[in-house]
Amino acid sequence: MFRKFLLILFIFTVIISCEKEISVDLPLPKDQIVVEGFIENDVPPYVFLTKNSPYFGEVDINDLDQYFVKGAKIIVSTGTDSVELMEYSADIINLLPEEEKQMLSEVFGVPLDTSMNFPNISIYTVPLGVDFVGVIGKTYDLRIEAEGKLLTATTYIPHGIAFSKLWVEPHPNPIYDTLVQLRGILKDPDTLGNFYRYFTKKNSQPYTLINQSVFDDLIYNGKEFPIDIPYGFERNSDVDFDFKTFGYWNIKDTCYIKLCMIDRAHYNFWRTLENELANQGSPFGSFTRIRSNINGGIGIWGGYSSSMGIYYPEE
Amino acid sequence: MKFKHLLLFGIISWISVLHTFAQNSKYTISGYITDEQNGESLIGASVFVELKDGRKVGATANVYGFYSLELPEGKYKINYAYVGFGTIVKEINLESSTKINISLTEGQQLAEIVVTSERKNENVQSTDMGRVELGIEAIKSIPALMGEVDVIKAIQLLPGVQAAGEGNSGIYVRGGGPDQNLVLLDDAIVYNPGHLFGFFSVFNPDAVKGATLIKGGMPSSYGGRISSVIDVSMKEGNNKRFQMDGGIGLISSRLTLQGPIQKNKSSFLIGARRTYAFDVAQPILNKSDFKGTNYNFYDLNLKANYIFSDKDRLFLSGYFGRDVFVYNNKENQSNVRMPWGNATATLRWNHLFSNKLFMNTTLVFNDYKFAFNFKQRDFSIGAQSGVRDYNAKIDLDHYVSNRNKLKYGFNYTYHIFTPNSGTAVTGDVEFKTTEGKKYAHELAWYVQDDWDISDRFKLTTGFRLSMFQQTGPYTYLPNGVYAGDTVLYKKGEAVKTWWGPEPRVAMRYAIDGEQSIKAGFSMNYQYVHLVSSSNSTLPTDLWVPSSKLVEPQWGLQYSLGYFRNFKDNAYEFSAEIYYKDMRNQIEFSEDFIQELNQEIETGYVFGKGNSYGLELFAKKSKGKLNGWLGYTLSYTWRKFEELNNGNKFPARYDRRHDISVNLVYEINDKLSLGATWVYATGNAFTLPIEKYIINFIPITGYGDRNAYRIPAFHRMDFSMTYAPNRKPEKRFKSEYNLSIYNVYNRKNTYFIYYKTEGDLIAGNLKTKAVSVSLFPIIPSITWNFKF
Repeated sequence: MFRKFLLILFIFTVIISCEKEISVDLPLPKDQIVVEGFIENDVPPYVFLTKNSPYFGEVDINDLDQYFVKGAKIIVSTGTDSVELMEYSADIINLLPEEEKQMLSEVFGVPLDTSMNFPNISIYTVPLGVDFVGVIGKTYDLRIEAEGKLLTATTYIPHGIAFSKLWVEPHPNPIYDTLVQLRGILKDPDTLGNFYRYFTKKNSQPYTLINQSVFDDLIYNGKEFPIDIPYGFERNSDVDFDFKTFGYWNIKDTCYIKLCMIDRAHYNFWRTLENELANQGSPFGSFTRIRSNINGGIGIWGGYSSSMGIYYPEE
Repeated sequence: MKFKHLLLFGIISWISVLHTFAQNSKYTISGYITDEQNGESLIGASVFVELKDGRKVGATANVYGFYSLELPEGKYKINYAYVGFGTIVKEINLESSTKINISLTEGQQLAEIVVTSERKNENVQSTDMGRVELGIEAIKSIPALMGEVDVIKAIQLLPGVQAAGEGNSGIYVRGGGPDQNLVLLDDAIVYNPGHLFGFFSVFNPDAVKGATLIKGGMPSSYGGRISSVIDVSMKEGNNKRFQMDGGIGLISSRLTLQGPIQKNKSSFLIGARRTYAFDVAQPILNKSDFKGTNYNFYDLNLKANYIFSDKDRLFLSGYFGRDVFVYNNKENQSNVRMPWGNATATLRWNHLFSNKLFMNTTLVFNDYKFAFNFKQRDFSIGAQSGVRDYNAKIDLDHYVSNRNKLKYGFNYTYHIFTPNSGTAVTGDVEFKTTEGKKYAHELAWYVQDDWDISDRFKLTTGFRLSMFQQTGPYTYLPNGVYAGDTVLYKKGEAVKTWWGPEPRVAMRYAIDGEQSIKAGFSMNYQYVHLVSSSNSTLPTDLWVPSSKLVEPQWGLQYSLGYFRNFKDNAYEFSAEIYYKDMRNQIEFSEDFIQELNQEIETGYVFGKGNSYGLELFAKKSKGKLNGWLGYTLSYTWRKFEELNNGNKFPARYDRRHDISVNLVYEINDKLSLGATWVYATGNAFTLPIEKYIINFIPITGYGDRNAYRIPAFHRMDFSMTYAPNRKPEKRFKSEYNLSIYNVYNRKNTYFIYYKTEGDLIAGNLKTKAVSVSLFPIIPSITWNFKF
């Protein structure tokens, strides 16, 4: 609620103030490799490797290619098993049929462009034909050698939990009689320190996230409790935010909720990143430093144990 | 030791001290020094006599105008002087201890050019360092933003003091945070001294007598903050005749009434001030979707005093101020109402045990409240926070001899802190966050001795012992949230007790009558904290006590100065250097995100800091042209294990250079001009330095903490005061004040923010930096009157 206050204060300041675009002389940042790698139960690990860029300056999709790190040697291992990931460029993926492209787009969280193609990127994943998927309860080490740098990280796939019940309740305001609130029952494990992230999806649309997609069990530890499951939005698209209706599902929607358990470092990454996104541009809020678990670089190597909950609308 | 025992010990200790000193050997001249016109006590007025051997012996009136001077039997010419007032010389034949109450009359010098209210060479002769007194007339002569005369902003023009931001009344003193200043109004702590989000201070200039800033070498009678004291005293009220002061300005109007209740014995003062800037906009707003949106602030000052006898005097003073912000939006049917403000009440009893022992007993109540109410259709949120204190203290001035003056006392405060406690209602369902009020006792004993060892050497030694105890009812949350394991403390049960020994030493070596060298050391503890994530003090900022999780802050300060007056004290010059060491400093962690139901303390990280610098100050207080020039060179660092990778970083208010010039030129009786110019190195801030992509969204990475500077700040203000009728025989006096803020329309950066435009997939993502500046050139006119 104080964010709201700050917003009002911000508006007030803007009313009486005067703005001008300025150029800020920024020192160039240290070259860093950014890791965005995940391993989920029953899904092969995949990694995007990109480079950071100076804060000011345009990022061009046609140029996106230049942000991706090519020719890296990436090994994912459990201590007993290990696999070297292979680099796939968008050109190769784009040769696949549209359906498969869409499936991969969903798995990797890569938005397709207007002609339903992958943007000019590259993905490191398990080579075709090799069976290496995430297993619950295992720890995964990541080792990357690229551009003369060595990056390492470790993550863990915790034991998963699913919603024991899903149901819908009408919107509190009767005007919105086609909207419903999805709710679920969650039973948190007895030990403190469980971390959750969830994705929502309706019908055959892409996965969405709310602003704060992660939560922990500090308040709920060991309890069985009902929780609201608001429908999210696509982060990289412009959304007209209307908080009268935001988070509600349509009464006829098939509601999918992918609930993931993650480890603490993974949780801290999203928690800080999402907060930074929410505060960006607010001069009154302070900055948030994003917590990374990558040694020698920035970004995240995160394990997910996911379970899918589905609510089918009543006929 | 149980708390009750401590309290008892405190009371017994001062009573016993009282009884120890009850005899006198030589004769004493004592009394009160007041203003002939209105009976106001003249704080700091001087009394001195020249002895046969040519030595001068003197005393200074305390904050109640009381003085005491001890002399052997004989004939004396006693000089009573106060800057801007005619000196009175009284010849007496001292054969026994005598009481002399003196009233001084304002002299030829006009009030407007009285820059200080100090003894002529007080700055050279006292042991005080880093102390500046500003009379209200001096404050009024400074050009003001929108014509609003502001005590705090006048203080910001002094070296070693920095404004928190453009137009902001938050201040940073010698590298200390805004919560490290003890802001007092007639002994009552003012927790939030700002109106309108800090753009104006809460002190109504017509009701205020003056302000004292102590930025180093805090006397032992003050405590509880590690940086500075801003002690604002209210006028007592004219006890000679009825008087009315007022003014009509651009954004507010003022009216102050004062007069005798019983002539020469008792008086009252009522002062009120209210803004109307947004009221004017109501007709326009009423036609829009924002009907009912308004903002205003007001404050009320009340004071009464009664002189029972030469021995007893009673003062009652009060302050009540509120800011009210209302925001209505018809389109989304929302309504925000946000009132906040301070209330204080002070009862003081002056008692003279003897002509050498002056006692002041004070009872204070002060309260700061902030409330936030948001309503949208059937959804509403209400939240409130604040702090309330009940305070009792006893201060004694003991004039042991002319060479030795003791001050001692005892201070007790009961604090009640209300952190964010809130209620949310959706339809019929109500959610309430657990009320986590915190309670604490704060106690302090102090003794201070001012000792003139020789004519050249003067030593002030003091010791303050402070104690802070967080007490129940309290629910300790090991996880920092209102769930899971909790430890319950019963009402009155001690949760955590802290002790703080605070030695203070100051010395002066007089090279001659016009120059001296001073040195000082002080140690201070601070038990209440305000941690702000923003740059200014906002009404939402929360005061929290030291607790199980939060250790008290403490600071050490060393200072050394050279003081020199020229041309019969017409020019004053001083150079001071200081080093300040600050421990248990508090900041929010860089990944802190406040969650509902979470104790704010769990987001704190602790570290240390230091600050050092040089302050130069030159002042001219006589003649047609007077004013001052201040320059500060300073460095302020912080080092936190958990911030900036453990590397030291500049504090937000680290400011390399700070210059302020304040000049007043008296053209003639009717017309005077004022000008100020300020220059300051830009505030330190953390800059986004890199961009990277996660989840196909651009993410911002930040550079080193506070490693960058916004552009330097500079601004010139100008004022012209025209008083058509200044003849003393006329009762009705009025003056017009024209102020021009930011004369050369400098667009000072208030903050920088970043705009990301376009999107990644569309291929036109671009980031821009935007500088926001607040105040352009603003002329304003104020009409003031006095009757």
